[in-house]
Amino acid sequence: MAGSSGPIIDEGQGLILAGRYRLEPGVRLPELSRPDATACAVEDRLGAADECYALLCTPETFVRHDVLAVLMDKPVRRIRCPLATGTVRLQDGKVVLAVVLGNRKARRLLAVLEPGPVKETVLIQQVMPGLAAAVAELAQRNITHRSIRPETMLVDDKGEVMLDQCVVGLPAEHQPPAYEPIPSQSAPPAGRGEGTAVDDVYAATVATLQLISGERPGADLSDQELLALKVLRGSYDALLRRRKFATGLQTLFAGGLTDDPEKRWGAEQLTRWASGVWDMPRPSTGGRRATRTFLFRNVEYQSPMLLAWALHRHPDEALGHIVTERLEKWMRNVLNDDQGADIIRDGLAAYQASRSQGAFERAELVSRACMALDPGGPVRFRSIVASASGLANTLWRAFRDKDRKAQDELLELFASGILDDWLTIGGRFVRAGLPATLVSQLRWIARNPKRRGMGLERILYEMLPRLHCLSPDLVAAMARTPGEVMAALDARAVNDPQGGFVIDRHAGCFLAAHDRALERGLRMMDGGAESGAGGLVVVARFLADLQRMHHPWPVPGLTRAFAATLKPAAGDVRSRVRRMVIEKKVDSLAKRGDLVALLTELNLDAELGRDAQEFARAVAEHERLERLIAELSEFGPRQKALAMRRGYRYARLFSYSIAFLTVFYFTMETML
Amino acid sequence: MSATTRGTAGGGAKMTLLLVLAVLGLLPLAPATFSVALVFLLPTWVIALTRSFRVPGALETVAGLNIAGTIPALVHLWKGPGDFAAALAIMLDTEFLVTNFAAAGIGIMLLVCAPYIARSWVDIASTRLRRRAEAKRKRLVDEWGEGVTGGALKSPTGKDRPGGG
Repeated sequence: MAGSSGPIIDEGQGLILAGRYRLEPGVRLPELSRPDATACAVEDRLGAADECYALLCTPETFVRHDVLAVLMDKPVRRIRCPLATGTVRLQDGKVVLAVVLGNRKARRLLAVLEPGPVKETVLIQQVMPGLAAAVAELAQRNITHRSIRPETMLVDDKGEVMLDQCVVGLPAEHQPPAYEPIPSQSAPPAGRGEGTAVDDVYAATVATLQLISGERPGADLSDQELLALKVLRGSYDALLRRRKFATGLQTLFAGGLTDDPEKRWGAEQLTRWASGVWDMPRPSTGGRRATRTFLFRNVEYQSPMLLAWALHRHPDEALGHIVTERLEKWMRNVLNDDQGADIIRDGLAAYQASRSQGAFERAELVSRACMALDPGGPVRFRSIVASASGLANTLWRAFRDKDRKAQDELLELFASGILDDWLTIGGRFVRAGLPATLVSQLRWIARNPKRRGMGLERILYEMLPRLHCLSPDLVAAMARTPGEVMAALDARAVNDPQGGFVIDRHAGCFLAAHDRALERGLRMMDGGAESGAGGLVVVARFLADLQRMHHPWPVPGLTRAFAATLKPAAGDVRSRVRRMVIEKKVDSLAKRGDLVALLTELNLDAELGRDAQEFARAVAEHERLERLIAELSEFGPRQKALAMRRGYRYARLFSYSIAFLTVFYFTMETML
Repeated sequence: MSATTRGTAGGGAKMTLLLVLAVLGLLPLAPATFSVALVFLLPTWVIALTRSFRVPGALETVAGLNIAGTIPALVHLWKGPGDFAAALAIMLDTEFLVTNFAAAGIGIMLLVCAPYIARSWVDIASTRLRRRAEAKRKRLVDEWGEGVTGGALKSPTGKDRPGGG
């Protein structure tokens, strides 16, 4: 089976995945397409015709890569399972992630059933066994579907009920509010998160209720009204509205719609129920309620959950109640919730100790109060509302939509201590969606946003490690590994040699998140020169490390971009001869596409060091020459002294010579 | 300069002492020769004792030429009877006197003219040295750009690249 991180396949070579699935991007299948992914036909060269199709996911499409990997490894029979996946380049040059899915001919359950309520026998004998088996199989693999509703229930050619695919699209993105448990119901689609198996059971139970009743539960209520009803009366009562069904179904509704996730039925109980074995659970009656109400904006709140939502919607008024300690006392005295009251007290103390008491401190305090009131609910911070497992998807949505406000708020949230407190009081479902070790790491990253390889982009790739790089220049390439990022950087450099030798924040964070060894290189970029040949060498060395570790193929685009960028930056090399030699060397080495060899043979660092030393010597020599020339240009005291010294020396020599010659002459005359 | 003067003065004193001892050594051995040397080397004694021409090597220069001028007279004395009468005749001989004092005079003239003659030589040498230094400076600027002239060392911008680059 094909891996999900293979190299890009070009359409010109034939888009064949896993050696058998040939994509036909020209043959579109509108009935199977999604708003965020186009469906196209697939020819299975080893199987029957018309069995498969593929969803072509653009860079803007969310793909649940973790779920995809699990399903590729251990397929689930009762859902439309991915058979192969790969990144492909279409004829128009666009790169997409193709996910080949089976059961193309499966029909919608609602299209097969007659309109109106489904008969109980049909539901129990034909629909529920398949649904329960699908939920159970998913739970066994520790993954969730998160889109179970009648519209995503299918019937295959054998008449068995199965679920539609669950790998493309945000989890629970299109679920109506009634299908979501209380904590995630009011979160925006991106913030609902992966959830747990009991959330799938909840959705399967609501889907059963819709099928047996023939109408969507809670369709006549607004989101807020439905939430209030669920909280005050429990999901069972809020959705069933006192309607009575057969005992077996009533049991399913009581077990599957339990609001406390600890007590709600799981996949195992659902399977046992489908086989006719169950214990009658007691229907839940909503969230906790206080014996005395809390008056907020002239509304008396009995439920701390609903009060938390009200505080979140009206933070300014909420702040007044928190600062006067009224809320803390209500929690401690009326709700007997000392842990929650302590969180509010500590938050208030931190707020009062802060110097600025600005917007961030106020939002943090209100968020802590909301959390204390509703620890199992989503985190609420300014406009951010997300479940523990939905934070990553919220972050992805903020980047995809280029929502700067949401990005800033998320950075503040990760940098604050709110998530730590949430882990303390949020229960095991919060801790399952947001591991404590990850939270402390993310806080450290968020508190150093200016450093290269840190900040919100790094948090995104730490939380979604299989996500492709969202760098504006590389997003179209859908690079999901450091090697693919290198290839994308090379391709970009081919198109833009002058600007192609840059690593932006996204790319840096993506690489740092995937390889700690590369993070050290990024830190060196922070410490080194930003511009000029020195800065260029640091970037080149980082890319050379990347090539050595993750992309052992030539990168001629990058080496040419290096050459193009180095020429202007070579002004830092003072020596004209050295600069010419470097440029000649770069020109010849750039053709090889080997950054490692280029840097090694160029040894630019050492050359720059030598150049600086020699330049300093040249400056000193120039100064000496200047002084010498100045001295020699006029007959100064030094020349005068020199002339006198030499004149007297020559006179003395002349005198000695004459004396010697005279003596010699007369000696010779006497002797001869 | 003062060191040079001190050194020269020291050398002159030694030279004077040597000459005095040499001439005094002649007194018991050859009194006639001593007399001629005493008279004919008068310019040297004057310079040595009065320290005229406080320039390096003044005594050596005058002494060298003065000795060269005295030697013909001494040789003439030694070839003759070598007594005081011959010595007196030599001391009164105009030819010997002129020759001797002209040689000493040339020595003194050399002391006066030598710096001016040497200056021409220094000028020529300086010009040659300056041209060599200018050529080297040009090569430095060609190689390192205008930055090498100073200033750019503190702010490397690349603007000071030589035109050839």
